[in-house]
Amino acid sequence: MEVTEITNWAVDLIRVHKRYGKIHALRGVNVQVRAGEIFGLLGPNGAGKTTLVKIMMTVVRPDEAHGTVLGRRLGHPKKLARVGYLPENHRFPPYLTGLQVLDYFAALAKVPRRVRRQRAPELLDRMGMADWGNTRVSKYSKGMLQRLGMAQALMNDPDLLVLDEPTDGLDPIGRRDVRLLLQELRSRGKTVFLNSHLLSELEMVCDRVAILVGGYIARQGTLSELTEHTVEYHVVAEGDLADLDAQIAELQARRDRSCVIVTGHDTRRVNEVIDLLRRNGRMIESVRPHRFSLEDVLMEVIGGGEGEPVPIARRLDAPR
Amino acid sequence: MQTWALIKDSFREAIDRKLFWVMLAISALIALSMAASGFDDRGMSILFGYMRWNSPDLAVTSPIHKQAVATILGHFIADHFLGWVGIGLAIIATAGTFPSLMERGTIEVIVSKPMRRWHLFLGKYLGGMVFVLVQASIFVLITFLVAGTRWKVWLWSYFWLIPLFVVLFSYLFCFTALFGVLTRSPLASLALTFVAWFLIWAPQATYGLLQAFPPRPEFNPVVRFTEAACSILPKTGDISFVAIKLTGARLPGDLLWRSDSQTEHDEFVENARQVDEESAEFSITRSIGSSLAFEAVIVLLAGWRFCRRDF
Repeated sequence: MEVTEITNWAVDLIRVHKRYGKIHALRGVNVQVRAGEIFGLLGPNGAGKTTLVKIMMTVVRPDEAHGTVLGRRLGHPKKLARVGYLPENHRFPPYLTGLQVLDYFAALAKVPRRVRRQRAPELLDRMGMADWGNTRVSKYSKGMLQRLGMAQALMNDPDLLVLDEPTDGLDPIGRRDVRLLLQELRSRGKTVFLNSHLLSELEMVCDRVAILVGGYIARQGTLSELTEHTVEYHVVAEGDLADLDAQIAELQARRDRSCVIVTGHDTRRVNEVIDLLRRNGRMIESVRPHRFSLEDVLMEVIGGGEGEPVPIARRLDAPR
Repeated sequence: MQTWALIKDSFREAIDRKLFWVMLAISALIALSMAASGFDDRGMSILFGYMRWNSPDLAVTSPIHKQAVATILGHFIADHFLGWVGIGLAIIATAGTFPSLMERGTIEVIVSKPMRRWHLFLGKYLGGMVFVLVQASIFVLITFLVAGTRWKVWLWSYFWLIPLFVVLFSYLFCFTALFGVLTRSPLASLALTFVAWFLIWAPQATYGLLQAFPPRPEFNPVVRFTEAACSILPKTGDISFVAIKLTGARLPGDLLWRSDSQTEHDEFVENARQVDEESAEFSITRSIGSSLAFEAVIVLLAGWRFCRRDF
């Protein structure tokens, strides 16, 4: 690993490669996360998401990786002190109490004792576990362990928070709490790197997302950037439109019962469809733009077999 | 701060295991059984005074009394209890140190902290040693107090057993660490450490036999191989020798021999003199130094593997 450039990206990973024997888990991944944003990493199982997160956190050694985290090379010890991390399926020593867990891991993160003593009960309280601090974690439920894990990741007041499936095991209220917490952190200028398979969660909180498929970043950008080219317009008219199928097809649209669907951000074609329907005496009931969800985009990427690396040239818009 | 946190965690983990309390209970039991016997100006008693023998040979005023107590403490307690039972229990108690550190879900959090993996590995290694240091200290302290109050001998050199026990434990703990890192299994780590212990002990035992019964010349390659193995491997067997030397203990028979046969007595005294001569030639520094060098190699190997592996 080497320092390739110093940027204001909170995370700037370039050409990350990792092989596990014959399996090429990451094939030159490039990911950029702006400081102060919530960034979501998504992809199907086995896409390499957790491996990428683990490489960021020095848990896994890459075969090749360039770039920076918080402006310093990957794994720089001083910068790791500014990162909070919650791994997927984390386990805490069962012989420790909640407060002891927070104290132990914060001590490893070089948080001074005075700060630890003050912050641990505060964070437990923030996570709704104020009464559980002196109970052994072996008696915690999965949701409580997840909340404790979040508190653990926040003990060093990190500039960058890396969360791998943070809402796993949480009930709807817990998920909402996590969402609110992430939004609060963003408002305080913290950067959040979120790895989750819950697309609706990502959609609700993320500023930008990357889709990792087959070891490549297939798409990366803001939610609107990813979904705008996949917008549809639904033109609904009265009656059966079967007799107009040929003319609808000529306009590169398709029919679904009494609805004509125009794919793409092409208002001219939408107007042509409306003209066609009105010329044939059909009453227009509604015209609705339909933006694709993140799930639709993901399905499109997976279904389309996309998996080519996002060119590094796309990084030219890096904030300085 | 980080090292202290690791040591504290290792200790908490060890205390959480029942074996910690079992070891304490065994220590207390031994101290209690020692306390059941007592010496005074007239002789000795057992079962807390239920039975007693009045004899000048057994009284605290006897010229061999202090030596006899030193022998019981330095030879029987150090060699038989600490050297075998204590070490065995300590290995069982600490076998899970590295596998539990490397448990999935735990290790990811720990290695993502701002500390070098070498630091983490050595901190945890130190934690295992501190656990044994505490156990040994408790055992030695309570038996020292019993010997002082009930047997009327305050044998300060007895405290040498604490570092000696820790050193002996460390000869084997390096294997526990290595196998723990390689297998991530407490059970495999434990079993392989006992195998390693046997493989270390076997050449020493063979060497002792070869010294006692010199073989025919055609077995010279075996002798040379055994000598080479003994010089490289940790000298676990030397520890009892070191303990006897440092505590001022003597071989028990030398002190307690009571025979009507003058010839037998003379032979025994001659044997004891030979042992004393060998003891005088024995170098503690060489024995412990070469053993620690071997331990360092194993620790480096285990640490290197720990630092290089993915989790």
